[in-house]
Amino acid sequence: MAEKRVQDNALVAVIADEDTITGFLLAGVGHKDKKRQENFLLVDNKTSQARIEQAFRDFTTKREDIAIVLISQKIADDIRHLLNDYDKVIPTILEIPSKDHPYDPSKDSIMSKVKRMTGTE
Amino acid sequence: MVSEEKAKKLDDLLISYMTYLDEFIQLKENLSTLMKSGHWNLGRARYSMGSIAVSHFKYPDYMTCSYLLSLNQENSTTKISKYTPDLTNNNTSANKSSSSLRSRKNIKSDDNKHDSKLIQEIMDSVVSKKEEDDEYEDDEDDEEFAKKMNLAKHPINWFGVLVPPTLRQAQKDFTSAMDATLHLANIVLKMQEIQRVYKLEQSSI
Repeated sequence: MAEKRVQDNALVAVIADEDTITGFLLAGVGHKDKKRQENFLLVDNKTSQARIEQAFRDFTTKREDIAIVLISQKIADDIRHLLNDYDKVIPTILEIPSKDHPYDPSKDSIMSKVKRMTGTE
Repeated sequence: MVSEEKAKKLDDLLISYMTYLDEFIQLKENLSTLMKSGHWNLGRARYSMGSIAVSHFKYPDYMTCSYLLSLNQENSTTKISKYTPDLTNNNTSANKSSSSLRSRKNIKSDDNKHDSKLIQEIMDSVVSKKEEDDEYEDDEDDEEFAKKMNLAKHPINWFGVLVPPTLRQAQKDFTSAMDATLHLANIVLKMQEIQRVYKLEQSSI
């Protein structure tokens, strides 16, 4: 079956701590235009939960140029209610480990959907 | 009473879902390993260069994403792949007057031409994404912007000219991690599609 191109020049958004953001920026993921609109949110101990929620909403609903949203699992736990209610296909949300918090599959929203589907939850 | 055909279809969907799930878990472990290595090398680079030298203080005013994605629709599944701008036209126009064998002394100038064409390509893609931004009319601003975009094109240069090998290794680790997340995103999309079809088939019983 033929593939139909839907969108080009889509970006990856990142919501994570400084080290993770720096790493992905080194990989060429960062984008900041003249209007200072960024495709990442650097979260530290001073960042409020409201700010994180606003960034998540911006990346998933307001902006149309984001294809993947990477979010540290520790930060995802703070906005778990938003991730559980999220049902769009694009952008795809992926939980990633951070430097201080290794990946825990039991908390991943994808794994909880798997459990619901297989009936083990 | 569930027909045998429907039951088999549901079983096949579940088997392919579990296969993708297995791949998802393996990719997550791979991603964790790559990020762990990336963080380790980043820490080592910070140790040799200084904590402020490798931090958000060194992020530039402008950044151009070189890791762009394209979305394709195949049947009812969306597929995400890495987007590579088509530079073949630029290359042929840059080398129009030259033969296929370039002389050594001309290679540098051709590379500069290629780089400036690449910058132009990236600038065009940024301008087309933000069509309401009308601040590119002045020629001097364009040149200044192009210089900043050139810097923005190579993130490793934000942290200095002579960076330690550990920082370059961290860049490689995180680039591989990005490739792994791209693969993960496609697996998640396939799993979501199977989930959707499974629920549809189950509800029709």
